Amino acid sequence: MPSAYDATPSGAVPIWERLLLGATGSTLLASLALIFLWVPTDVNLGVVQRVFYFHVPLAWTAFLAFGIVFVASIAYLWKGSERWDSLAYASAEIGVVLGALMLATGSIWARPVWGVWWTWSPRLTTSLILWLIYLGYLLLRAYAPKGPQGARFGAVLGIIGFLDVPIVYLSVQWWRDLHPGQVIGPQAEPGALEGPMVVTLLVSLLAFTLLFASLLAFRYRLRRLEDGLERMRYARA
Amino acid sequence: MRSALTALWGIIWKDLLLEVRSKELVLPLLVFVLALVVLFSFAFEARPALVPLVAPGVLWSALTFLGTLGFVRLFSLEREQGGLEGLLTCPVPRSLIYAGKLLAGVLFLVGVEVVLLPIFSALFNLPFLLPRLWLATFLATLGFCAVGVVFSAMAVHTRAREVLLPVLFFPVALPAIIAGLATTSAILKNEPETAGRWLSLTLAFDILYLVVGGALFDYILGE
Amino acid sequence: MPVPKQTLPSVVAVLTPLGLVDLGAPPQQAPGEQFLPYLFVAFALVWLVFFGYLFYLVRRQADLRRDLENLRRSQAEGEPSHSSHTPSRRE
Repeated sequence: MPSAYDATPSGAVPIWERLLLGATGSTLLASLALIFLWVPTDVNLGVVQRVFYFHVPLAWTAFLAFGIVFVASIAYLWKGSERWDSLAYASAEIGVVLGALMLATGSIWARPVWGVWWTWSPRLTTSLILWLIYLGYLLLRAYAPKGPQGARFGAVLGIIGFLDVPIVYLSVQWWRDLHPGQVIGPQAEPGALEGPMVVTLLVSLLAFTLLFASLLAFRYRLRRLEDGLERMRYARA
Repeated sequence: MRSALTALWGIIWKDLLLEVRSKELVLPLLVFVLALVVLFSFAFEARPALVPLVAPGVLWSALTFLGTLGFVRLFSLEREQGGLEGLLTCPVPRSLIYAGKLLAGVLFLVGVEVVLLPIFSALFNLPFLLPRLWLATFLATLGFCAVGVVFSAMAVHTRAREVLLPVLFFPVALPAIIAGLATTSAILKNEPETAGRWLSLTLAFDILYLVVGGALFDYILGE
Repeated sequence: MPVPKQTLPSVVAVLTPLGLVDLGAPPQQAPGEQFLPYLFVAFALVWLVFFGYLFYLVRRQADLRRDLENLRRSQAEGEPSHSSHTPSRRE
């Protein structure tokens, strides 16, 4: 049973992962410096606009994570390799954490800027539903039998859940279009971004993407270890 | 082709026969959903002026709970009696098992709805003959059965299945529920054009759910 | 407990930017300055959750390593007595 050992025999982190960690740390520091020291304060929205520079990257990485669950789930059902399943699980867990932060920071942003903590706009509703689906994914994996059966269940949910997103968006959009009186909050997005703001946002996006990659590598390794242990126990029982 | 239809009918007939003999599904579900409608109409203060706003919500919340509970029962029976293993040993394609369970589920739910809808109309002082409302209800039922069968086949193998099923099912089935809700609301507000638009969207969702559900059901049953 | 008169303003001066004490908006401030606490809370939340998650992962890794060691050791000890059938059960 090689899988329990193959990841890191002595707990050593592979070299490419060390490089990734270094890159993550330095870009994160750079983006923090840009957000708090360099970028000018938004004229209309004031300091709270700076939430934007990590709310957007959080949303991007969360959606990226769920996209990876989708792709890895398809690959698992197709190829049947446990590695794809581990990748899907690791990505789902990180996606749920990032998604929770996305929703929370979005809400904190909405309150001063739009005057409400939450509005049922298509984008917000879809994000919430997507997050709920992957929260369900984690519950399913926890309660389903271990091994290939649980992995198949997870893959099916990972695929249906992601395919569901555009449909949810479409139906909520139609539904809300018919009820214009009920839409509270933003009528328009914030105006066009200025140069330094774009630079800051791009650096932040890069930093969070690297952060996500590092977390994913770590969680994936851990998941392989968990699966390997599970199999060893099973083999002994 | 003929043998496939016979097999399909066999799967449906098995569930119908079981229901006719045990009466554990349609009747309790009907009473349950009626109790829900009464509860919701109090909870949402369904005064006459508010009926067009409140009634669709009452109906669709009730139908969603009805569907969830129905699926749990439908598959629990299979599980308790080892029926799924029996089905799997049958020499029929997996897609037929999906179609059979789906149609059985639709039949049971529509059976409940046929009784529920007139009572619902009476309780909210709505006209009895609203063919579009019936059509909308049946189409949306088909859509959420298409997902529901997939998720209940999963949930029977998990712990905490009664809770896990709605947790998985509600967010995914939301478009079907919204479509049903929107059609109902448009009909009650007498906006036939909007209702027609939503009906066609419901149909589109149904087809999508059926295709995806049918394609993935195979993987749930396993080897 | 009596609080010395001169310490109170300095305590407030420290706590106000953190959003822990709200004295109402001062008259002359930049637009949106009163929302500083929102920014603070959002950032604190992100880093708290992130480090919390990291902490959980590291703890889990340590637990798994220990389990793995235990399992290996018990396997090494238990091996002789079960040697007739254990290998066949392994993958």
